[in-house]
Formats: sequence, C-alpha cells, structure tokens
Amino acid sequence: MTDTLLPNQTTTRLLSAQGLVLDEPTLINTEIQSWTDESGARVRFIESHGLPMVDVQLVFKAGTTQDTDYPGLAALTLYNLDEGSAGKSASEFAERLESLGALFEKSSRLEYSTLTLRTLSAKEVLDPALALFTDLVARPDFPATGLEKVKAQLLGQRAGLEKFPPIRATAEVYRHLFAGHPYGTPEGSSEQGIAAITTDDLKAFHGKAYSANNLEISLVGDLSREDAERITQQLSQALPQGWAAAELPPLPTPSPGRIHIEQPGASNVMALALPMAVPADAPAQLNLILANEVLGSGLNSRLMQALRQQRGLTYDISSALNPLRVGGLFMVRWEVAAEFVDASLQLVRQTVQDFIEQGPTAAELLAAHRQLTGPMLRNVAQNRRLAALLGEMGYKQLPDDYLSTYLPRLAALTPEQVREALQANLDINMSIEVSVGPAADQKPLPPVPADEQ
Amino acid sequence: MNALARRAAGLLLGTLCLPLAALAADVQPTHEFILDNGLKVVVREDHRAPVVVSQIWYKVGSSYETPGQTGLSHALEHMMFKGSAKVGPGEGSRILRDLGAEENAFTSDDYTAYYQVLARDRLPVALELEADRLASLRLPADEFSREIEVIKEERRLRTDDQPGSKAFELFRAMAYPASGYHTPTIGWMADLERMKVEELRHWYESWYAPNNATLVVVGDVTADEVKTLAQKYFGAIPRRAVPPSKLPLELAEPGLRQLTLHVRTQLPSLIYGFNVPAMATAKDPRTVNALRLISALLDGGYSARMPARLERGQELVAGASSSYNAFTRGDSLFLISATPNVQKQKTLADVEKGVWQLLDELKNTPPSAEELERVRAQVIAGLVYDRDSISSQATTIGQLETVGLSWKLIDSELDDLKRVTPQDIQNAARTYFTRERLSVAHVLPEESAHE
Repeated sequence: MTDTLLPNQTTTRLLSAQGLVLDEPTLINTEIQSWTDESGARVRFIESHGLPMVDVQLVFKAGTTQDTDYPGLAALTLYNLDEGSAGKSASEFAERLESLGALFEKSSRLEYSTLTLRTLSAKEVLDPALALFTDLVARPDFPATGLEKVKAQLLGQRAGLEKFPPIRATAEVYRHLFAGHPYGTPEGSSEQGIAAITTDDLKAFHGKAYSANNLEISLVGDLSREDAERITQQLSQALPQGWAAAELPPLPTPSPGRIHIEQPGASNVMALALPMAVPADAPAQLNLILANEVLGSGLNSRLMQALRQQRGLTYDISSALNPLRVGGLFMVRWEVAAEFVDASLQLVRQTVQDFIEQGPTAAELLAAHRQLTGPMLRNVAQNRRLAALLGEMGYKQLPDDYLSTYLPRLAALTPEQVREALQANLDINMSIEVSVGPAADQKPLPPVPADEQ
Repeated sequence: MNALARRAAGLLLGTLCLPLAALAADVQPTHEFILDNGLKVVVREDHRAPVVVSQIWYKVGSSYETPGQTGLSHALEHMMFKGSAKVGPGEGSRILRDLGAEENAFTSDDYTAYYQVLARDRLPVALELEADRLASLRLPADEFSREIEVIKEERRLRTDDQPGSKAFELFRAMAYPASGYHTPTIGWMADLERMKVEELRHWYESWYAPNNATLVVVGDVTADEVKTLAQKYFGAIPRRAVPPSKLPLELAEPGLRQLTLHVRTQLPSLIYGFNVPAMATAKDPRTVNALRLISALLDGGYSARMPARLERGQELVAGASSSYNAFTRGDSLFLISATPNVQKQKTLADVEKGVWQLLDELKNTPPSAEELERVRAQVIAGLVYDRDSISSQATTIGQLETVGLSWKLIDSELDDLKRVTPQDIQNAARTYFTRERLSVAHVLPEESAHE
C-alpha cells in the first residue's frame, strides 16, 4: 500500500498547506425541518433563499417490489401519470408546464417511485406549477391510448437492457441472491406482466400506492416554513388516502453460486456480490460506507491496486453498497479479458476476504474519510442534490441530523469498528459470482512486476 | 417598438409573463478587481454551503492556432498536470485528491480553463498550485512523449472512432471557411504526430501570463479574502506582453456548402449550420437574443416545434435538435441536426423539406405572443436553474470574460431576453436562414456508399 497522504516535503513546499487542519471534519450546518402532515405524509424541508427557485421531490413506496403479482405495473403506473390528468392531454400538460419554465421528472426503482418538480419560487409561477404537478400525481386519467404507447416503449426498453452486459450481470446477481423475494425481479417487469395490465389495474395501483400515507416529501428552496406546510398539505390532501406499503418479508437464506452468461463481446463483464442482512437505516451502514470506500472506490482502492495498478488486468474496478429496507448487497464490478475470468475472480475473492479479515488501516480510513468529504460538500452546495439527499434520508428513515453528523461520525470510526462491522455483515462464502461475455481457455494471473511487490 | 406599444404588448401577454422583477432582486453579490500584474479576478458569493469553486481561464484555445500547429492549446492543458516548481508530475492532483477536491480542466476554441471544487478552508492550496503552474511549468520532455500518445489515443477514441464526432469535426471545418474555428480543438492527427515539446513551451510562454487570465471564485467566500489570497499567490508573477489576437470573424455569406460523409453508423443524419454573429460580434445584441429564442422555439422541450411537428406530427424525424452558442469570441453557427424516421421510410430529402418548412414559417409569420412567452419562460427559468451549481455560475462568468464580454451579462441577460419581440424573431429568421449562409452535411451509413 502506498501512502499518498500529503507527503512532508510537499507540505513544506506548499505555503498554503502549512497550518491547514485536515483532520477536523468540515462543518455542515444545513438545517433540516421535518414533520408529518395531517394525511400522514412525511415532509423534510430545507429553507434556502439564495436562489429564487424550489425543488420538490416525492418518493412513494410504489417501486417494483410492490407489484409482484403483475410485474411491470409499478413502472407502467408511473410512466402513465403524464399521459393525461384532470382532463388535460399529455401535450396540454407539457405546454402549460413549459410556459411556466417548470421541469418535471420521474423514475422507477426497486422500492420507490420518484417524481420531481423544479420551479421558480415567485408565487405567480410556483402556485400554478404546483397545481399542475398535483393534478399529475393525484388525478391521472390513464387513457387507454397512453397505456398502449407506454407498453410498447417499456417492452422496447426491456429488450435493449438485457443485451447490455453490465445490466445483465447485475440483474443475474439480484435474481440469484434474492430468489423468491420481491428484490429478485430487478428489471421490475415481465413481458407477460406488461401484456396483461389494463387501465383498471393502473387505477387500482394508483389508488393505493400513491396514498399520502405512503409518501416522503422533500422540499428545498426559497420558501418559508409556512409556505412549505401549505404546499405539502395541498398536495397530500389531493392524493388517495390511508394506504401504506407493508414491510417486505425478510431476505431469503442466501446460497452461493457461480453464473456464466455466454455472449459475444471484446471482454467479460464481471460481478461478485455478497448479501448484507443489515437494513438501510442501521448505524453500521456508516462503517460499511467507509469500508467500501477503502476497498473499491478510486484509483488507490485495494481492488484497484490489486487488479489494475499491480497487474494491469482491468481499466476499472469498483465496489458499491446497495442498502435496501430489509437488507441489501455489496457488489464488486469489473471488466476483464475472457482468458482471465477465473483468475481475476479468484483475486477479487481473495482481496475481499483479506479485507474482511484484516479490516482497513488507520491511514486508509483517513484517506477514505477525506475522499468522502468532497462529494458530501458538493451535495449540500446544490439545491437539486439536497432534495435528492432528503428523499434518500426519507426512504432510508434516517434522522434529521444525518447531514450535519455524517462527516464527524465517519471521522470518529476506528479501524476496529469498521472491521467488526465487516465481519458481522459480510461473508465471503455467500458470494454470487457472475460473468457475462465470451468463454475462453483460462490463463493464470500475469506476474506482478518486482517493483510493485 | 416604442414604449407605449411595449406596454400594450406586456398587457396582452398578461398572465403568461414571468415575474422578472422578482428574479432581478435576487442577484448575488459579485465583485471584480485587477491585480497590478493584470490578473482579473471575479468573486461571486454563494453561502449555501462551506464550499468554493476556483477556476482560472486563459485567453487561448484552438481558434488561436495556426495550420500545422493545431492541438497545441489542448496538449498544453494536459501538460499543466505534469509538474511545476513546487510539485512533480501528477503530484498536484494527488494533493488535491487528498484534500477531497474535485479538479479538472477543459479546452475549447476560445479558452483553456482549470478548476478545483473544494472545502472553503482549502482554497489557498488550489490557488497556490494554480499560481505555481502559471509561473513555472516544467514541461519535461519524457512526460510529453508519453502524454502525446495519450492525446492521440484520446483523439482516436473520441473523434476517429465516433462517427458523430468525426462528421461534426469535418462539418465545422467546412462551415467556418475564414476563421480559426475550423480547427478542431484536439488537433488534426498529422499535427499531433509532429508536435514538439518546444512548441508547447513557446505556446505556454506566449499566452500563460497573468494579464491574459481571469480567476473566478464562486462560493462561501468574501471578496476581501480572495483578494488577499490572489495577491499572495499570484501577485508576484510578472506581467508579460501577449501576442495580439483578432476576433475570429467569418464571411457573412460564404455560399451554400455541401458535404456527404459515409461513416460507421446505423442511421443517416442531417446537419445544417448557418453562419451567424454572436454576442461579441453582433451589431445589435437583440439579434443574438432572438436567435437564442428561435433555438428554443424549435427545440425547447416537448411542445417545441421540432418535437411537436417533425417528430410527433409528421413522423418525419426520429429526433431533431437545434443549438446556438451566443457566447463565442467571434462569429458563430446556428445548428440544426436531425435523423429521419426510417421506420416510416423517411429520407434525408424529406427531412430537409420539413426543416425548411419550419424555417420558412419563421421567416413568413412571427410567432404568437403565447408561444414566444412559453419558450422565453423556459430559457429564463433555465438560466436561473443553472445557478444552482456554483461551478456553472463560475463557468458562465469565466466564459463571458474570456470571450471579451462582461460577467455582468449573467445578471442582465434575463432582461435582455425579455425585450425580444415576435417581430425580432421574424427579422432574425429572414436575415440568417438563407442558403448563402448554409452548410449542409449528409451523414450516411458506410454500406450505402456502394449503392
């Protein structure tokens, strides 16, 4: 491991680095206000008057895990919201929104469906923009023509996705690791499911999953608390009421496995994943965030050192955590020439196993902390990213002081605490290993040049 | 339009008008000063979070380059990461990474810029490193011989192997017959092959002077803090004479130019470019703002004319876009590109006809007040949304200053856009959408070359 923290000779050559306190975490004092409104929607609000604009994000527990009887229903419901609402056609709706300069986006995930509105904060713009947004979320018409159009789009999208090796590899991991659980259908739809769905199904799904009680609202921008309360109240009162998604069943007992998907291509896309029994709101997530940074983030991570810097096996290798409500997974991804599929897999396995056993060094933790500071600061410096962070805090059920305590809490973690969290939550013997690409005769690892050892 | 007529138009637009007064009131404190050595500094305060972006912009880019020496500005940008008096090759980047900073650089026709985004208390490190490479770049020959290979690979990956980029590079070379804008920023391969580190040293010594640069700092800082730091780290770098540079002016009416290219692509596509002025060269800025709004009329969102008519209405195109960069140092291009809807058996000739219908309509009939207000609202709101990012604020300021305009436009352009009338739109369309100003490219799949 090369130590790349500010070397002493540099600190003396750089005037500006002298006296710089690097290990004191940067203070984030972004204040979050939160409340639950009368309809049961949870609201998180950051009052920010620097710019005359407002970002709204709605997160419904209406993701693909909620539609296992009709795979595709969650996505089709979301994508049909702007096909016509409150008597306005899709193009009338777009025209009105655009004449206010407002922007609308939507996305469907495993556990959540997200809708965002960005608008200027002047009342003459804000009020009509919110009224349109409310119509769209609360009063969809679900015309049959829209459903047919969106079905064709979704089928086309599905066909393309499965051919894309990185998506295929990830999908195989979820299918295997979470077989029999709602997390086990990562693409969130099936051709039969899509074909069977009617506009009545959309209405029924909307009537439940888009309930105020099933909603986390984020608001960031040029609003008073009073305005924020009024806006969110109006929105949540217009929604269906009284339904909330049930907690998902616990994760199935994992079984390790090795999957190869034969596909033509220049190289193999690889994935190695471990299940994590720890839910998204557990305090141990912070320890795992730090651990993941050391192991698989950036040019100096352990995995990058082992595969790229020392052996030139791959251009990029990284790891990521996907914390979900009832557990989640840790996954390493890389690309490698077909003849090194097995050898690289063995090397990744060994690197992960060593890391779980030994944990990080103090120097590695310090570097990881510094590496995590920058993105966090850049997130809180932008309203749009703040709104997304609030949404994430909502669906992960994180406390209001999460942003202000994030960096100090990371800084306080010791190598032992991180190692304990690794050992408690990750087991290398439970790994799912996937390769997608052409098969070839396997070769041993290339030797490490002497000066790298 | 006289004042009375303007007020009448305002009343007519009534409820659709954006409350621009509310926006103007929110201008962020912005300060400028010039050090004794000529370095211009612009500081814009944004105190939402303890973060700051620092960008330094040099007035040099590919439009300054001469034939045989293309790609120098971009290659020099790469070499700026290869060591100066206080740091070795790559060391500055390592230091910044350890400080949790994000850093990079970009080169264009008109500028070369370097930036760092970092916690406010670490700004001095970014400034010291930036000043060091302005004053004392090492340019080691061995680093250059490695780096020029990286640049050639970048050219292969991003241009030669990307049919779209390759076609656009050749299109620009045709569409800018008179100015340095025909030069691709990465440089022609033949020039990369023969580039020498001595040429880079000469380029660096010619253009990298404090009096040829603008330092832009946006974020949780005050002007006084930045003034002290800028003086401390940049103040001692001497002013140097910089070669004279001339605005890249184009021929007004070069005549219709056509190009047919066969590249490795699945679908044919069409590129149109009209030679038009930009903010720095236009006689009347209203013309330029009219062109900006025309681009939005054609391509600004779901209800704009190209998606509504060509894509959904006539099902003529699979996709179409328009763009116009008003903030260049010299003259600009108004661009339209489109891909025919081959599922409906549409050809490039059909698409051309459809595009000309839209352009002729703009020339014959001014847009309705309602439509103009809709696209104006989008453009103006988009400019406000851009300010959400301190980096995009700094980029706007840096670009304006570097192309010879003032950063003050960032705060006044909302009003300028508001003054554009439907008649201005029609006038601009009539003046500029002519065959004498037009370059056309037909980009076709390779196999059709043998048909």
